[in-house]
Amino acid sequence: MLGAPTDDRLIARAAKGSAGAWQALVRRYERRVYNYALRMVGHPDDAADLMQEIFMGAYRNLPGYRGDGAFPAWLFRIASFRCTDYLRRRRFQDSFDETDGTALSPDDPVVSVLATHANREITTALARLPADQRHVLELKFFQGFTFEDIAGQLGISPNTAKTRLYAALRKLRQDEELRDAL
Amino acid sequence: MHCEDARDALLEALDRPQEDRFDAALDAHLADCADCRGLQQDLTRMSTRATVWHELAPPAWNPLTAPRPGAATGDWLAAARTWFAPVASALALLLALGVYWQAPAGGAATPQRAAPALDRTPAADLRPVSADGAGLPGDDLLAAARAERQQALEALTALLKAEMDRRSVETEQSLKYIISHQIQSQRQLEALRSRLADPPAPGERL
Repeated sequence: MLGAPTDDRLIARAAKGSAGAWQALVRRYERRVYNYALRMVGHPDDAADLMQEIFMGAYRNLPGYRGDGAFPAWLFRIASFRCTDYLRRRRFQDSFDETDGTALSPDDPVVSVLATHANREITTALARLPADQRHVLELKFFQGFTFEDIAGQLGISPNTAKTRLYAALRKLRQDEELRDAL
Repeated sequence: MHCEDARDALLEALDRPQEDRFDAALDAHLADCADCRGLQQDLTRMSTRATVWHELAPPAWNPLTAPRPGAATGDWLAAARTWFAPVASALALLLALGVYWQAPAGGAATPQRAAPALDRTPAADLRPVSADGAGLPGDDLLAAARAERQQALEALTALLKAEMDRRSVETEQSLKYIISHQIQSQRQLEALRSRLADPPAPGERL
């Protein structure tokens, strides 16, 4: 019995123009990418837009994929780039709207979309972090990449990735201590 | 083990499977160091958070017909906001460059240049010269005007000198008059004194 085709096989077929292969590849990763985007931008609509941008970017760059079996790392390198770009654009737009643009208000109706209390808590906590620290935290704890992978995806050194992770954890702890004190 | 090493060890352990994370030296340090123990707790808490995240399904979409970003919703306002800053910056830069260089063909529409700095080149260097090196026709007029002014200057000098001479002569004559008058008065005074000292005999006329 034949198993599911590997990522590399699907990519090779998609690069040759197979719509079915591309669709299968997207379906395989869209949930992971959507949840990544949700944690990074904190809003379901923005996350859906960002997810589509990530896959479109991946499709355009398919000829550049080396096919060494590390498709998730390659995909999340594109995702990190797109997400950084997305956050930068949104920060510019938010400067017109005069809103924070990162953290969700508890009264925001879209909060109910973040189904569970745990999801709300995590999204709110991540929203307090600078984007570069949020990236490292996301890629380490939610995507399970090594520091070497994260460094390659973000274009930084492994030591910088560790420093950002350490800084992110310290900030989260300080925020929690402050919240507990209040 | 120092705190810095312990921190590195704790972070590097994240790259290894759980069963390969045992480190006796690290454990000994953690037993004595509250700060590093705090980091370990932060890492554990964050790992736990990652496991409790409830994965959500993405909204339905077709990856084969996904519209371009920005064009999806026809949100022209969002697109305008995105492009406003770079386009405005480029236009401002072009405008500044245009004003700076002021195309010569711009005519009256372009603003006037600032007044040039004073030309400190010697006049002789700026004197117009014809193609063959001879002076231009205007040179004769200039020379005639220069000669006329020189003559006027000399006449004025002579007049001033004559006036000074005249006044000197007048002064000399006045002094001579005053001195002679003084001498004459002195003589009359001496004559009167001598007469008073030697009074005339009765019946003698003064």
